[in-house]
Amino acid sequence: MEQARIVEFFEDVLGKERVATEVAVLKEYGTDITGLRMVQKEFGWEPTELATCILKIHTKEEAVKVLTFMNENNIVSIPRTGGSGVCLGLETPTGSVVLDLSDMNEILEINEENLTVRVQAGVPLQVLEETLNKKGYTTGHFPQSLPLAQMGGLVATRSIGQFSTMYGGIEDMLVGIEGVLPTGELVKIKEIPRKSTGPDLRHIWLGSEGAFGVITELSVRIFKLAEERVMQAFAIDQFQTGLEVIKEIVQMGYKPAVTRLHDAVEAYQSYGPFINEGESILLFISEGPKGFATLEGNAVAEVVGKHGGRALGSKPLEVWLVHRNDICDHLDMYAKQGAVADTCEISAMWSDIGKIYQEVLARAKAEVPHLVQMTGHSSHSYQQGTNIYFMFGAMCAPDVAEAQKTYDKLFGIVMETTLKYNGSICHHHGVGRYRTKWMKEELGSAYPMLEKMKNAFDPKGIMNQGVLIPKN
Amino acid sequence: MLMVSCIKQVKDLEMILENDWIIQEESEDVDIYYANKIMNVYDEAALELMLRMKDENESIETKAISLGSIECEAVIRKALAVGVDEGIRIDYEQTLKDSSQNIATMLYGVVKSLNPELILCGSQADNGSYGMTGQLLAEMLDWPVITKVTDIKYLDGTFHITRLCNEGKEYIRVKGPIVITVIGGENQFLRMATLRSTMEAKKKNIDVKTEVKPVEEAESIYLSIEKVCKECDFICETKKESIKEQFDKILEANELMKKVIG
Repeated sequence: MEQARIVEFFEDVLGKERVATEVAVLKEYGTDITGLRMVQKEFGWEPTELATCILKIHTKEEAVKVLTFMNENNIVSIPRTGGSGVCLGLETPTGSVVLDLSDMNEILEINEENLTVRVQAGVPLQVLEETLNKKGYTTGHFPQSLPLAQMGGLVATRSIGQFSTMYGGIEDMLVGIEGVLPTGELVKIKEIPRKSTGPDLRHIWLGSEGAFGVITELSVRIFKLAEERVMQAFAIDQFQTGLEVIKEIVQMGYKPAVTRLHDAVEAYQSYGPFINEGESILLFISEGPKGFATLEGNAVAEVVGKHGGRALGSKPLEVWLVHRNDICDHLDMYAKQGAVADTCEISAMWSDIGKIYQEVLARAKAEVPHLVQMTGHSSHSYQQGTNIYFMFGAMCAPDVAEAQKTYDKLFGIVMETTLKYNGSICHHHGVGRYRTKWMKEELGSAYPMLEKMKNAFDPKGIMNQGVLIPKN
Repeated sequence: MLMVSCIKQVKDLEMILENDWIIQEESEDVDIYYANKIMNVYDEAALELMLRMKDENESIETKAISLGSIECEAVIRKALAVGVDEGIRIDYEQTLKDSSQNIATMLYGVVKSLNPELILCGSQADNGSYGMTGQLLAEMLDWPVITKVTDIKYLDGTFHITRLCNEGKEYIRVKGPIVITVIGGENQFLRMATLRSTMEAKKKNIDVKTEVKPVEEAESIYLSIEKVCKECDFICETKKESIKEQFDKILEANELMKKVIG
């Protein structure tokens, strides 16, 4: 179908003012905030593959009409809310159409009996959190993307927050969800605390990255604001010892909301005056009902002390709380300095995570000639394992292709090493388009399940083509 | 040709929490113990400008000079890691943060014998913000000084300087030797050091100067301070008062000023 006729149809359904076709707008929507693109932009890159138009969707009925039309006419759809993706999942293949749901931003119901909140997909997390705080509640969900992220996108990328050890990831919070399938059906999964009626269909949406449909509405758990908070930091001689400390704490059954271990380089860069050279730093926040946080905090201190940790008080946590999301500004600054810099988060079992960390650092030092740094921290822990959030940077010739080559090398080291030790290539950023090349190895013999799901839900392959599963 | 960049180690004030900007009773200072030590941002901009000139002209030799205890060698090593040829530390244990004259005197004690064509200083330091060191140093050397520099290039034996002025930008061509004080331009971040160059910089020798003295110990002919008007007396007197009381006093003073001005 001709582009003009496509645009005409959308203008009829939504009104002209909600269909954007200006090249500047299309370019703005042409990518996300992946570190690779930040530095490539400094070297002159700009999106060459542009969408036909951007649609501002206001109602679920509009989403049904639009998707039905797109499916009938084989038009690739890119669903989008906050735009804080970091894996190229929002890039727009030529001829695609962006469904921007960020205007669907109404908080529909705060249910204080069931402790749930029902929202439209475009509700900004920060607005929701502030609204809930005024009533004495919290989402318990604090990803680094907090200032940008919106609720639909958080579900679609299987997000996690910095207080996850206690509150869980978005998969632990999602209670009910509604969305539109590419074939035009509006489907709703009702709000229930738990059930045993076959597979949990909510998980089709969790991490779907727009590949199976468009999320329009959802409800999540909310939590009472903590009555008590205990914040403690400790210096620890080795990163591996820090991992042992966290393993012991969580396997004892404690769940400090914030449980973090930063390696020596990160510890020096962010908490230099607190530590001795070569030391890593452990950060804990315990919170909850009165008495609970103190009890947990005491247990944490005892375990860390047993492993030789040195108490540093609460000040490092006060600093962390204020500066915890500065990385976004830092990445922008690194890009302006011509550095290829980004973050990459993986997860693995306790038996393997230390090996991955050590080998990634060793390989980066040996194989990347202009490496600035490769550092790591653990920030989300479970009884069976933890994640490592690698932060890397390297210099390269000021050229778009060179930046790509350097980025691929750095990212590849993390992905290959993780897969070598049976880890997962992605803990909470999503797959996007960038990580699809490792998905077959990631899923192994389960990969056909993902392909079959994609074919079942999206038989024409119009939904965010190229995410989760490579286009070719 | 030699260029010298003066760099200072300061506390990273961006780390300080809002609630901690309170004068402590005992120290009569703000407690910033937990802030990392970094290179002063204006000095970073000056250093980057020097390195850009070196990128364009291989014959340019560069030195970075800092003043302080062994702890400040961290910023000198950072300068070495990003490409400066040599580092110099003027060994001085005591704090000189409030004395531009002392700092300039000690810098003069070293740079006068180096015969550089250009000395670059950051326009001011984050901690004192006096903005005097570069100008005092120029006075001592009896060299011209150009302030508020945003860019500089070295072409055909001449410095081509861009500086901010009231009317906008001013473009100056000048021959050395000169001192410039740099405010930096847009996106003039100091380049990043690779891990390898950082490791190499750790092994490099830093020339430590112990013979130069500050002005209290060496006679100064450039500046004598007749009287110090301590604005901080006001703060000291009122430090135990509530913020509201202090605020009221400021309002009162403002009202008085309005009446005086008419």
